[in-house]
Amino acid sequence: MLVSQRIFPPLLRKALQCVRSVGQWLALALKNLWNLVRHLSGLAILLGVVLGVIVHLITIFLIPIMSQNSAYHRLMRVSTPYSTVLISSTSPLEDDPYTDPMLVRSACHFDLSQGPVRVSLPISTLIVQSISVHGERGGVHYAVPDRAATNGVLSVMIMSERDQDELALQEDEEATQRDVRLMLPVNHAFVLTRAIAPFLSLKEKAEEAASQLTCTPSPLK
Amino acid sequence: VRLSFFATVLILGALLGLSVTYVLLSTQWRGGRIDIGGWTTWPSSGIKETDPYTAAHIARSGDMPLGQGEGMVFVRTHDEHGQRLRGRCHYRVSGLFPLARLWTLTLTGLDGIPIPNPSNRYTLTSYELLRDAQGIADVDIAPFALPQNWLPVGAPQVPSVQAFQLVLHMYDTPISSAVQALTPAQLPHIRRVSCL
Repeated sequence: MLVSQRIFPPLLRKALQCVRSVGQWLALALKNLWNLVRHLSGLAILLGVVLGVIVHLITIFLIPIMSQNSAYHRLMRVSTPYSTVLISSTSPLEDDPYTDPMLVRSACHFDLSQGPVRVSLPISTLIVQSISVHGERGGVHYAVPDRAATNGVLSVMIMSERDQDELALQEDEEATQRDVRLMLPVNHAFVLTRAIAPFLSLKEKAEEAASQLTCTPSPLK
Repeated sequence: VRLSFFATVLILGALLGLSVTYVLLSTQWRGGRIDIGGWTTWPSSGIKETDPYTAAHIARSGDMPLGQGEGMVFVRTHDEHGQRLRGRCHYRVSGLFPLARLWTLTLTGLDGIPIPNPSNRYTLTSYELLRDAQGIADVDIAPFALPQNWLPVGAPQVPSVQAFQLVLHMYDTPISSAVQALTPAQLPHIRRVSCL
């Protein structure tokens, strides 16, 4: 007896059984559907639609809370807090369609429950630069253009509302003049800097400019 | 029968809800969409308290949108007569570009990813644009090389580029706070010149 003859019949039988059970399941589903159509009362349709609307609304509101693919989570997976990561064409973060080919970005994420964070970015005159602060769930809280820079450095202090109150008590005149101060209602956030090269030949320069972003934790004394 | 009937209603209802969510988030339809003379923009994606649909879209795609004060993105897929932009055709972009410190005009596939081309030109910026004596500039978009401001669509010998879209990024622009007041005449228009 050939090996194939011994193996095939049981296999065939299994396959037939499988097909039969799928068929039965399909028949049941069809029967249910038919029942639905037969009993299709206004109430059933209404029930289904209302349920559909509820499920739709719940998912829309849950996605920003549950998503593990948000920019903050993706950033968290590839870098440590307060460290700057360049989002270049080779980086796993750069799968964002609609990205400008002249644009170079870099980002760092932080946790404000550990105290304020100082963000600084040297400004290059040839490149258009900006800083934006994004919350964990994707909202853009602030955007600061490079025109806000003083002495060639764009310096931003990001803090929670609690720290802002604390700082107001121990007010330091010099610090207020030096920084742009931003208050965030959330603790988990990230800073993104954009550097846009006006010419393709300046793209390396833009990359250099973007990678000079620094985020330093500066807890209150 | 009664139980399975209700189960079916429940399952179908839930499926309906899930599929509506999926379709709404996967397509370009989402809240806060504004159309100005064929250019589409989503100004609400760059703000803190955005609508739930935009918020869900951003969280799901992992986008890092431009903040409202940083700049704006405009996308268009059709010419001024409402016909799809085709890779076989020669188009001319003319008219006014809104005031911005820097803008870039990029040609991409419908997925938003630049289309490979032999000359590696994907974008034109406001700095490199050649203008005439009146300061007016036209941009030609064609699969074959053209003088002055030219953006290639794929390669001439490869007819695979069916449809494309134009993405206009504007950085540091005063219009972002008044996008509702923008009229079609303030944005460039795109005319089909000929087709291969």
